Amino acid sequence: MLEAIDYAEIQNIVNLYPHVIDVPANYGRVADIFAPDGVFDAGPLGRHEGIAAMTEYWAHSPVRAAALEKTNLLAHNVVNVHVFEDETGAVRCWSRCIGVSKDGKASIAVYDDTLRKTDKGWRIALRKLVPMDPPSVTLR
Amino acid sequence: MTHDLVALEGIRALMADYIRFTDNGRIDDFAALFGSDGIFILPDGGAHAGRAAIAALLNGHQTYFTAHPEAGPPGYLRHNLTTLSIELDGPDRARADSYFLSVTSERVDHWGKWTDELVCGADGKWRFAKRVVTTDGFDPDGWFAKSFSQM
Repeated sequence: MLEAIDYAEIQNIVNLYPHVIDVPANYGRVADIFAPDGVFDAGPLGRHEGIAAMTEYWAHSPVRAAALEKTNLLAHNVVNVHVFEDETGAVRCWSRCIGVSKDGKASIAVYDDTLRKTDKGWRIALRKLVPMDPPSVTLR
Repeated sequence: MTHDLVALEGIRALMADYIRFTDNGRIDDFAALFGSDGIFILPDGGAHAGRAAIAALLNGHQTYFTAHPEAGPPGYLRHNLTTLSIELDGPDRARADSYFLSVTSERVDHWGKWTDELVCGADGKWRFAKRVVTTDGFDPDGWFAKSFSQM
């Protein structure tokens, strides 16, 4: 059963994610978020397994670069964080991400995470990126 | 990473109070969220050190809008904090990074990042030793554009 400190640590991990992937200088901290064998299933943007592969994706993937250029996305705003144990006993976290672009447009997605407690604390074992439909809204 | 639930919740309360006080014009309460030598750095690069200077800054914004009703203010301004990451450096020191989306009665007005250095006082309350506000974007016709280009 999860204790209060577990909820706090998991929320902190989920909230750390954008500060790492939005800032190239912080790409070296992917291991502070994901388990060593962690997986980022980004749907149409690919499935990336392990710290090195994920770091390579954020740092150098032409697919991601093209997506960023297309959307002008600056920041992943994490909201509505919900931590729970599912029916199998797995520790899960749902959150929503408002991606804000330079021109004030926004896209919204869901992160569906499965977490595992490692010797360094809670880490994401699997993150699924689920685009919401409609895929984008205009904030202004 | 050190985790202390009381410290984490104290810092979350500080973040909530920052928004509550600034959005409701509680200037003295807002200034008291900073340490006595706390520094508030705005997107224009202006650094405001100490509670009196910080309170004067907010009073200046209110005075401007009172004197220029054609410029606003909007019906309301609501800062929405997202993506709060806290790193405790000890029992009385911490760093925090967060994003925000600010909404007025008209539209999303400005958005960006808060970068904080925090200190816990002898009274157990966390305060800003330093807050740096960085904007990623803003509505060119909105409150933020008027506030920082016309004052």
